[in-house]
Amino acid sequence: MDELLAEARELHRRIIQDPQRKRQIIQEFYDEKVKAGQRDTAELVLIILNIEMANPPNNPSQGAPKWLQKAGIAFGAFTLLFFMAIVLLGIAGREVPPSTKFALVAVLGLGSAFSASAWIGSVTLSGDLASPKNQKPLFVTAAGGFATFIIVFILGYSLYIR
Amino acid sequence: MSRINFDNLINEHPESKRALRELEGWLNQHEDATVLYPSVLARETRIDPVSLAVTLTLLVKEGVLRRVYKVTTPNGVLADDEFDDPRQIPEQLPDRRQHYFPTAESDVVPVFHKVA
Repeated sequence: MDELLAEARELHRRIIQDPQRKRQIIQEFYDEKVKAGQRDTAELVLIILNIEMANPPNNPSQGAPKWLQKAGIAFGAFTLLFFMAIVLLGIAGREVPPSTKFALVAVLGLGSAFSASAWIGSVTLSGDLASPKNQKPLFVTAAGGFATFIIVFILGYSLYIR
Repeated sequence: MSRINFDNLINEHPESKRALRELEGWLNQHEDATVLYPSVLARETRIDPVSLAVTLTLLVKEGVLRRVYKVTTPNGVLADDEFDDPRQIPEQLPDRRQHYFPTAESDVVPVFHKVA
């Protein structure tokens, strides 16, 4: 069994080295095996090759651990509770001091980033947003939790602090 | 369409029981599927690639499936032509709009037809 997988990966390696000859490499491999009386092996290897090329074993979306989604939910819930507590404190007359607004936005950004990293792969934001250093429109494209942090942080800074 | 049952095959090939049960379940959930793609089966079942390849080959030998080879067009879809042997794939093939494309860089895709 392991030999079949090894043969499929070796064939894949040969194809990657010379992708312009992909069909020919496969045909040569098949021909060699048939001539060696191993047609079944050749056919098995071609199926495994097709599966591995279509579903790479190191695909990040497949490799994401199951606990990551639970961790994302926990971070999201914690961030939500934190801000609900701030709202309740605000109603009770204990408002957030202006000097801690930056830290508050950072908490919002990091909380969103940790929770979002478990759910999504990329974030894109574009539009007429005022960037911190100038008034030109801002376009943001980044990936994963880091993207969420950057976008939430810039939005929070633009809308809440400035 | 009648439900697929691999009990007899499992009795003859107990080593493939788990994969056969998974495939049986998939086929019964997709009764209208007349063509099986190994990459799709690998994604939608819990069968590892080697066991899936072995089981599909077993089903070909048992006459449940018929294997053919197809190639992808530059657009990434499968061309209509089918080949029993990958060595028969020519240097050029027509795509679905009958425009010929070179097959040198095409993927060679094993595809399985359900035998009625």
